[in-house]
Amino acid sequence: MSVQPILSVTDLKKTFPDGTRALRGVSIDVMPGEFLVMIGSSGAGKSTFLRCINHLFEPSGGRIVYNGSDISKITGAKLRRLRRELGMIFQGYNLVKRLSTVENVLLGRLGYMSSISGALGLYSKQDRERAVELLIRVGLGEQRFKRADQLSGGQQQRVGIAKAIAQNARLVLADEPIASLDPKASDTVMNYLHEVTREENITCIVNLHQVDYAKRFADRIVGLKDGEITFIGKPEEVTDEVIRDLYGEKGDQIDE
Amino acid sequence: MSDGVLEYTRRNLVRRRRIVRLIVLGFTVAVLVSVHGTGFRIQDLYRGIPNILKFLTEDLLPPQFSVWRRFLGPTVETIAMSYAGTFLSVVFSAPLGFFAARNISPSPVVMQVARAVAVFMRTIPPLVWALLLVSIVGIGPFAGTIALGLSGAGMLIKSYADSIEDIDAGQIEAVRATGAGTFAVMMKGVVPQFSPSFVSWSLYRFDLNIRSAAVVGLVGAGGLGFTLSTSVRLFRYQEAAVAILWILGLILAIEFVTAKLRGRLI
Repeated sequence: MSVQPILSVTDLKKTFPDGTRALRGVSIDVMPGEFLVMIGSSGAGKSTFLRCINHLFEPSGGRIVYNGSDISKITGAKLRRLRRELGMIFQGYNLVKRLSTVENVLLGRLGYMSSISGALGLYSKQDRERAVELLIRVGLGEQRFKRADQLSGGQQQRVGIAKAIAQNARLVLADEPIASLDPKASDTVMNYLHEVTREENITCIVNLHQVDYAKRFADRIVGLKDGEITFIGKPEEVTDEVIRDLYGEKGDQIDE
Repeated sequence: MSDGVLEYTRRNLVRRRRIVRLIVLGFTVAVLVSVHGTGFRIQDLYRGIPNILKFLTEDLLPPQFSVWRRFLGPTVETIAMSYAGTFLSVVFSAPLGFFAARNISPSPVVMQVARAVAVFMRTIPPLVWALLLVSIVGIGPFAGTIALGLSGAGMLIKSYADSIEDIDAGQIEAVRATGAGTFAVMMKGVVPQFSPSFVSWSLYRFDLNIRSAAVVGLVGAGGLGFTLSTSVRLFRYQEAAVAILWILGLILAIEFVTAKLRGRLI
């Protein structure tokens, strides 16, 4: 009873305007420092779940408690303060392509700056130094002045990781971080994500559809199917039967 | 059943032929009505040929090149009008372009208002703006500049808004997800993506303004157009010929320069 969950989600629901019920009541507690992996086929609601937590999507119902306070319905300045503590990593990397690599890391500092000084790019000296250090840490020190769109996919995703750390994120939400990468780049990105967040004691929720990666890195695995959690357990508890249940009989519903 | 299919095909073909006939008939009627309405008579054109040739060979040509010095001032004026007009429309359109873009606009009402402003300014041609402004602020390049600025703003608001609507939403979303404020999201998420089309459209508008500047000059709004219309009114056609060549050269030169610039900047 001593450790409070960093994130506690109760009966989270999301229905889109077109009537799609992406989440049908998801409840889960995430413990501090945990590396949680969500698996499930495309359209199971994994991405929607992450986006409801940082309000890129507004949840339709349920309760989200982050670090002891209810964040289900926050807006404005409170939402900005929440978002800066939540680092998000996207499947499509979503770096601002025409900005330099180092400035993309610095974007992680925008939540700590006034909107005006952020807009003008008046990053402090120590922020700039830290951004370079973080790039070196993910193996991209040499690339810092390159434009982001000149990097490979795997490199761009490592910039995304550096940005989340620059943000001093306490919780990282990674939405299919390796879905568009080849196996070698996938390995590198997952290794960095795991290693850096372990070192900084950052909690991670990672959506994956590759079960092997999930088993390799996760402290705990959550299986999502049709907007509901059908499995929670240790990696070694993920049996063939669990996978069949999540992805269909022959695993033929796994796309990409 | 195959009879049914044949019958259906036949009917379809007949129907289509009827539609084609109607369209052709419509076009023919429209042409006849407009010929009648404009008093267009081919025999007049034919009879006019000697006159046209005489005008070209005796009045207009050869251009009286000795007067070229007189066009230097108006040329500078035309470029200045175009540049100031472009600047005016860029300053005016940049914020309105953001308001008019569906994906960025703060509210649907603001978006509709911004779009309505753009349509209004675009629908009125530069020449009409110039006519109105000449009667308000008097003859001269100032009226022309404002005319170019207003009609240019109409076009730029729409072009800017359309370009902003085409940018990658993911990049904006990622900046927003860091907790950045609205203005910072605009400057760091939207502006870097929008800047190439911003430069491109603005330069294109400068290009168009050089052409329009010649036209608005005809109603007294300064520049080369004004000089041209003065020469024509005084029946000094050989001077007018030089003005026309001069305008042509200027348009080509500016187009060359802006194309080079665009290539360099993007």
